[in-house]
Amino acid sequence: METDRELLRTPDGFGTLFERHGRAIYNYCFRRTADWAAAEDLASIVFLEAWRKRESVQIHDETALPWLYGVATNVVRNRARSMRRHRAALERLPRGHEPDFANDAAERLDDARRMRNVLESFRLLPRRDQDVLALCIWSELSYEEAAVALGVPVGTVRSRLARARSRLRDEIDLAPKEARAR
Amino acid sequence: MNELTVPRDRDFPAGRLERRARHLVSELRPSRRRRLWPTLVPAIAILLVGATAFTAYRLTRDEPTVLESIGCYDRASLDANVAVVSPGAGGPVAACRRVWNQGAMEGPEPRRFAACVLSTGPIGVFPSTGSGTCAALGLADVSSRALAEARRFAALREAIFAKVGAPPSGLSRGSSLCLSEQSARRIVRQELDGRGYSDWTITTGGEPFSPERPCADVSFDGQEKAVVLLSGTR
Repeated sequence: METDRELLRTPDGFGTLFERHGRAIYNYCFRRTADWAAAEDLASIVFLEAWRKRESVQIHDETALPWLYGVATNVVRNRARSMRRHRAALERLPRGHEPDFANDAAERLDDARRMRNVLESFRLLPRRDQDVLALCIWSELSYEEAAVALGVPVGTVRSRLARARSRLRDEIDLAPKEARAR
Repeated sequence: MNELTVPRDRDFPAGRLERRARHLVSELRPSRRRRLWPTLVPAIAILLVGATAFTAYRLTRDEPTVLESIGCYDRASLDANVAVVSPGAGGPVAACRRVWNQGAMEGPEPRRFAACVLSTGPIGVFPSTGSGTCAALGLADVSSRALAEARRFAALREAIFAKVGAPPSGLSRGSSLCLSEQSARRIVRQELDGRGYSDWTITTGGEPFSPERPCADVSFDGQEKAVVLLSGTR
């Protein structure tokens, strides 16, 4: 099997890289947007952006995934700009005939509602804390992997995560929100 | 951390991963059209994008875009502890005063507060020693118009909760009302129309209504301008 580093060299390799890591990036984009349809387009954009930036790739433990999470974090943060930049490419995407999410539509709607409620609290944190929580807690990256994704020292990841956890604990103690009780 | 438990991972819908992989490859292969494209972008397009971005920046800086919850900070710092609370009809500052009155924050209750627009969209309320608190944090003051809108939205929520039933929370067990989807939909529509929210829609989410889950719960989605009815039990 080709390594991620080898796959980064050619368009065909990038296609394989998408099949290898696309699902993880898709779910990460959903958790940052609470929108499954947008997450699909954003996942595509992450790999289009990654191609542009492939010279600066960082391979960690033989995988490009942490670096791709970093690209995804920037794409989501600058969502409108990213969508504009790649709109033409997305418009060339062949559309299929199958109905969207036919088999699990209700569950996905419920996912989106739950995720919106979570993000409601989440958005009160500084962006840098949101990023480290999303990567380390939701996507289960190690401190080292999150450091690669965010381009910061490992110690910074640890301190940001500790602070964000502390602040969220305060919120949960103090915030009787309707979402929690569902 | 149960509130932050996120939905489980899902696969792409059937066939989409492969289709998008093929699309990605086709986009990345060199083509005459895409090589020429950058040279065809006129400078005016760059100016338009810049103007659009600047407009969006101003709008998000000056007006809150999330009204469903507010953040009460225990000191005038973005690194301070924050309590997330639902807005009340008295406005964001009154809602945060209640948090202080309940003894949920450490230290004496500040005499003054400043309501600022957080960079992520909601309103943040900070202890203040005078004017310029928001500016010192790099944030915009919430305009009086936005404060009025926040109070109006909070009044809508409270009116709907009073008639359809408030969901349980950390401080209350919730309402014992059990309205059907149709009854809840009718009441919510009346409140929306009567309070100037006619452009809002009513949708359903989660598990379908059924004899086992006959009672309507209400959730608000300000960004989608939608009231979401969810099936539940009592």
